[in-house]
Amino acid sequence: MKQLETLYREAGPALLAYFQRRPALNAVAEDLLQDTFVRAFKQLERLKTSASPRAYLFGIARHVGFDALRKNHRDEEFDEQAIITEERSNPRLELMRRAIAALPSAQREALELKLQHELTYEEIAGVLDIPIGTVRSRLHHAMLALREELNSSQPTKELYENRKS
Amino acid sequence: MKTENLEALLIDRGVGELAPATAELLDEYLASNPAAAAKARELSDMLGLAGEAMRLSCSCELQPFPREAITHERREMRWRGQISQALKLAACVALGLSIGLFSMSPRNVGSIATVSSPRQYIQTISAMPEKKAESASGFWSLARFEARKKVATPIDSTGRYQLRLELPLSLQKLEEKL
Repeated sequence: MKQLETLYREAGPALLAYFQRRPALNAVAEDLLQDTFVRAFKQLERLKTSASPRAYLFGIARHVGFDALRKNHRDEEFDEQAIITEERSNPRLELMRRAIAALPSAQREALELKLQHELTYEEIAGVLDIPIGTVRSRLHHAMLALREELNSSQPTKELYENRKS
Repeated sequence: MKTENLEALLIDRGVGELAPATAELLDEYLASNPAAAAKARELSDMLGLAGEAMRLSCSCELQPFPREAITHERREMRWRGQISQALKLAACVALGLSIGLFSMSPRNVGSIATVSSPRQYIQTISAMPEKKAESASGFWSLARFEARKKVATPIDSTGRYQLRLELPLSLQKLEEKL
């Protein structure tokens, strides 16, 4: 129990952020975090013996999120409004957010686990239950897609900047 | 180096997944190739921007650890374990009982092959339906059995030959005397 409590303090904020970033789960993020730890308790032995307990918790959180979405009959959609209301000072950043949101969910998920939660390829493979090579290729495709999206949106960006000035 | 390979290596390095030895080699390559170095800068900028775009911006106020829910879950798990054990035990008992009842059931009526005594044999035979006339004098016929029974010498304790149960040890002693 103490070990789980320590993990809650360490990985709790990241897991909470993981839920909060999903618009469909944002409202129940705290409940889902608690569910994640209750479920982790059920699999305490596996959690203890896992190579990365943090990654294991992310794996559980992912399933808890899926279950919640299924329960509410909701798809994980991207909430554009959430981005628009965020800081508008940097148009490139806004473009990047839009580009990330437009990525296929599998690529976005891998990118998020890497850049936001700083998991290793191996840990991401464990969370998503896919081979490491697939994680690598998803990330690469995501990065190349982002670059393409940013480069193609360059005129939009210039227009935005001109209008602002 | 092919562009795809270079990009893959640059992305791996950007996310900190490239082995140090490979990173050193990549740096050497970039130092000697300005076009590749420009591409590396572009990808590095983009990774930085993506990282910034995905920066955590949540109200990460954690609720207290769900101790109560976990305690409740633990109790339920214990209950579930006990119920499962009880069910297993009940299944074993039921299986044992059914096997016992099955073996004790009078399912052998009418079967000659499994009779253990002549009396039971006669009872079984008489309980069986009448066979054809030709089988009455056959090898397995009741008449043949009756005839055989009459011919056979009954074994009793008053005759000339008496069966005595003796221990092999005492029998040995008897042999020695003779």
